[in-house]
Amino acid sequence: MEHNELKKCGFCGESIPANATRCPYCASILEIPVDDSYARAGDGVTDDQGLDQEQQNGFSTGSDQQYPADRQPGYQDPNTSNRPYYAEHRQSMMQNGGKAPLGNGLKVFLTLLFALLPGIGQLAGIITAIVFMSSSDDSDRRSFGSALLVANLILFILACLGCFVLALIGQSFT
Amino acid sequence: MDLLLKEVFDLAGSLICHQLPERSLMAGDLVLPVCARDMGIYAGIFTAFAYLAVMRRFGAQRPPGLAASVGMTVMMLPMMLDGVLSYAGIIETNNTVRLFTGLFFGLPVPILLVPAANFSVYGRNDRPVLKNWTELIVVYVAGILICASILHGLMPYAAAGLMYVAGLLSLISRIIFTVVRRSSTGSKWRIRIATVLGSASALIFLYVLSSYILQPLKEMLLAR
Repeated sequence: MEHNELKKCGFCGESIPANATRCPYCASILEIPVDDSYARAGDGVTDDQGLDQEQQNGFSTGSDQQYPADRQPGYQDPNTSNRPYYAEHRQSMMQNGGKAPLGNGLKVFLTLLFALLPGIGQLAGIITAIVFMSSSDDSDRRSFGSALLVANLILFILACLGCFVLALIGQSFT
Repeated sequence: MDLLLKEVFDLAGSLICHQLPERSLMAGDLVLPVCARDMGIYAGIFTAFAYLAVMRRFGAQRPPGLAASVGMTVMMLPMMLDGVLSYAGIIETNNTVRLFTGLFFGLPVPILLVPAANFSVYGRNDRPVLKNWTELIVVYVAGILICASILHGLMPYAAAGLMYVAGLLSLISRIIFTVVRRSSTGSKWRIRIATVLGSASALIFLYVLSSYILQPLKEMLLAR
């Protein structure tokens, strides 16, 4: 595969290098390991425009040589051009029993919620992070969970230090 | 020698603690370098790090199960409640409560921090930080015994001071290591150098914070 070949990101629709495993524009992970049953399901499950899930998601199964030419990496279906369809990807995953990836809005909301509530927020964040990290079949949740755990542990320690300094200031001036 | 050691430990204690004598425990004739609550926190951090080092778990990838994690985080709440309510003047607290609530706050931190650095999003994460509940109980019992020995003055001053310094340095370096490891894909040596530099910067920051904020406030409190 040549380096100048391009493909569309299945999440944001931008043109990206065909061998990219992560979209440089939206940072979505494009190449994740999937089991055979997922790949086989992709053969049979098509949406109303005849697109299979692998094309929609931008995922590669790592065994491309066994698929027809229109499913090889770098193939650009004209129907998918300029069509960011995160919502459709999410829906198709849910229909096939998989967990839908977390929306960016939800991630921002959770991060802010846990960061803004001193103490309790970070403890809730640690538990939420462990729950996400335990998702065995969802790399998106696992990735967010590990980041959330690190962030909340550090915030927790900083919050304690801040509360201690504030309390000392309060005691000194009362 | 003892006085030199005390000066070193007191300097280390001044980085993060008000060191008010009435809130600190004694070891023999000497006041410990940090207050009872901080002593408990760093005794817990030291105990958990020591256990993970002995069991060779610094490369652990899998965090504790959900039940254990919830249990550990719930055990962190008493210190927060004790601190907030006593600072607000709602309850009276004492050094025993400060010490043990601090211990339960400090113990989970390394157990959660170690897998946070090594967790692999795509991997199997087959190296758990704690293999079963028994290990968790062993860590907590060890921490309680250590704190009981500090409380009753059975632990020598030097041992208590070293435990505090080791706990503080382990915590800072592990936090920096975790941040560097999660945000970089450099070689092992690059990560180690960044960890050392980051830890040194954090200590300098704490020294400045202590010199310009903590110590002046402490002197104001003591002068009243």
